[in-house]
Amino acid sequence: VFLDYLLNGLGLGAIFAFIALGYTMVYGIIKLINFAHGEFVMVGAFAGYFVLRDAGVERVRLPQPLPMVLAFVVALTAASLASGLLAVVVERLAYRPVRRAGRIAALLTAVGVSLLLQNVAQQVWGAKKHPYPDAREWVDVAALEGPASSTLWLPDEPGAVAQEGQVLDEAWKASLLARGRDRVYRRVTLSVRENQALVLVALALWAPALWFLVKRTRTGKAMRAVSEDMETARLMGIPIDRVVAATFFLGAFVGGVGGVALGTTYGTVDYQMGFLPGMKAFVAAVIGGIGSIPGAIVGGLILGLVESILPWGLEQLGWAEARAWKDAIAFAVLIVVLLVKPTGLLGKPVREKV
Amino acid sequence: MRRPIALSATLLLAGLVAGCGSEGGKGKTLKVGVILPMTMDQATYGVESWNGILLAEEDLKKDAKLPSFTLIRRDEKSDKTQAGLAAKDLIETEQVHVLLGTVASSNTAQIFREAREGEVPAISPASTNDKLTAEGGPFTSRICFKDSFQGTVLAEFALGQGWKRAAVVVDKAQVYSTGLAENFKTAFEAKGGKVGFEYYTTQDTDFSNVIQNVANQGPDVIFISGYYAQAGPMIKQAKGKWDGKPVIGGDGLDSPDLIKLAGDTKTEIYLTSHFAADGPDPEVRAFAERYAKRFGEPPGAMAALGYDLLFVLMDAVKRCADPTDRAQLAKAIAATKDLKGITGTMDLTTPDRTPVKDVVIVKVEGGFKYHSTVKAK
Repeated sequence: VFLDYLLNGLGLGAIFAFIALGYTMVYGIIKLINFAHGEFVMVGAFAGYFVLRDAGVERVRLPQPLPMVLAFVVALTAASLASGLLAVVVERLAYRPVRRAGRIAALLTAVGVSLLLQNVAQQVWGAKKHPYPDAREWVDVAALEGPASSTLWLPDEPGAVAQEGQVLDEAWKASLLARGRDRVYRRVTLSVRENQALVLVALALWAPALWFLVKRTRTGKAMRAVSEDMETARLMGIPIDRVVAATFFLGAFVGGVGGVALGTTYGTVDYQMGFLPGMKAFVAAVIGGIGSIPGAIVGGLILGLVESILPWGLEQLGWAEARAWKDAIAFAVLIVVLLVKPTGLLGKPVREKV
Repeated sequence: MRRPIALSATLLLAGLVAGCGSEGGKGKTLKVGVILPMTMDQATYGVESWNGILLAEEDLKKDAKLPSFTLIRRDEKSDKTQAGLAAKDLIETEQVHVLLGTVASSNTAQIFREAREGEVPAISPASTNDKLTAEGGPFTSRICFKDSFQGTVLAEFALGQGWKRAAVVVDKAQVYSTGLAENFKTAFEAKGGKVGFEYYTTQDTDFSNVIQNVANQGPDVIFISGYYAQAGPMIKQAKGKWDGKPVIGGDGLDSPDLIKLAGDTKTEIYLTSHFAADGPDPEVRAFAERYAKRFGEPPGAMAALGYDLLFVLMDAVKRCADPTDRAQLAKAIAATKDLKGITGTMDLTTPDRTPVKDVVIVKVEGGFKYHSTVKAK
């Protein structure tokens, strides 16, 4: 049982970490708390939603067993690109013009962009919760026999062609083949546990990739330079605007992964799905030390674990009401962390320049 | 400000003296304010209710005995604050004569409060929380059963299936959810069942820990006391955790979106509701066919309640000398007796202007399948 809560916490924490990375990178470079980041994540989740629903395996007819894996890869890529490009556009149109107007102006712009994007998404995609599409697996009609092991569907028809347990006899096959249908699909619903495992794997792949990008590439070097001192970096001939745009792109690109993870793990997308996870991820970034990339990952995982394990643990210790207090407990931990270490767990102490 | 009050009092007296059947209210258009959740978490309720109202309007417009009426709709966005604001706006700006709505009990409570203060009659189609009409006062009423009965039916159904230990999942942010859960608990424990509670809120999307806590209880049955927008994803996320355990729910789960959100689940689901499109009554079936033909999908309970709602109102209008007199209309609504509708027979002469109606049990299996009817008592 403890293991279950641990995994729930890690799974949730990994999603927070993916989203927190965008906050921390942008903050690290231009000291802006980008409140619209949650909306970038939401747009990414929708991009993944459309790929999995329409443009994925249903239309692209590829051999087994590639489609399922491929569909996820395409969905993730589309999500990341959509988030990333949106971030670049928003940075160019909304943030760059006010970059010199002070931090309050930039912060308010970010809040404005967040509300704007939520409203646009509500108008375009509606205000209801959309069920996140499951992955699908193709089955050749000719290869089927006996009772169906799961419900079978055709891509462009609403009803199922065979229910689970239905005996698939020759007449059934012939009727499908006569309509020119040689393949049906079954839905592959991953359990939350499998989804959480996938998210953790994705985080394990992304973390070193980001580290490499920031520490070992020219762009990464430029980012670090701008983060250290923007004016000096400009004097050294670093194209500030391009570096800032690249940071926004990268942060949102990773956030898109978080968006798809939210959708697949918890099963729904809607226009305000990015808001609350965005807020929590921001908290995670602060716990870990805002501006620090490893800090965002550590902070995300800690926040997830605190939300999941701490109420359960306190309950075991005899506090029966603990679970009802889960959010209060999580934020109490944030306050304690900040009291002990005001710059966050892995944050660098900043000396005010006089 | 004295004169207008005195004037309206005289008018009222004149109306009373003239009595029923006078021409007092004819010629004036009756303004009907409709408040429904057309968007957000409960959108299917709003859309279905509105479709039902449209069908009823089609039928009632043919009735020459009725005065002309217009429907003015507001979207409460599945939010109680918005519901209260919509009611205020309809009462004060549009000067409506009667309010119809809404579905979620927390939201209807706000409308009823405005109705009580503005002395405008208000009827809810589907809010089942016990206290609503008692707290709303004499201007408020509803056309559906209450949760004390719904909870009892659910408890007896579960015990009848041999399920003795129930895990109850409660949405802390909705009075419908907390009230129904308490009613269920009382009835279930009175008959020897055991109940354990788990909590979530409407904004939650991650239910993994709630699901784990429920599984730890090792229940025979899981009762989700809440709305479909959370119950659907919860059932989907419970894959591998609740396998083989049946789920039951109240009318808050009765939405086509429940099935879409729950995905490819193998969970056995039963729910209590007001109506089943494939029920045995021929009139119900005729309504279901007509609805499906017009709107392209079978009607849920909210559609049937929306249809009945306008009939209840117009039945009362017919019995009024001047339906645009709000106090008179409220009295006429509260005097509704033995009105047969799609969702059963409605009698609002009870102390809290709430009918005593049959509960339909529905099985969720690819769609909503009629299971049985529990007679009102």
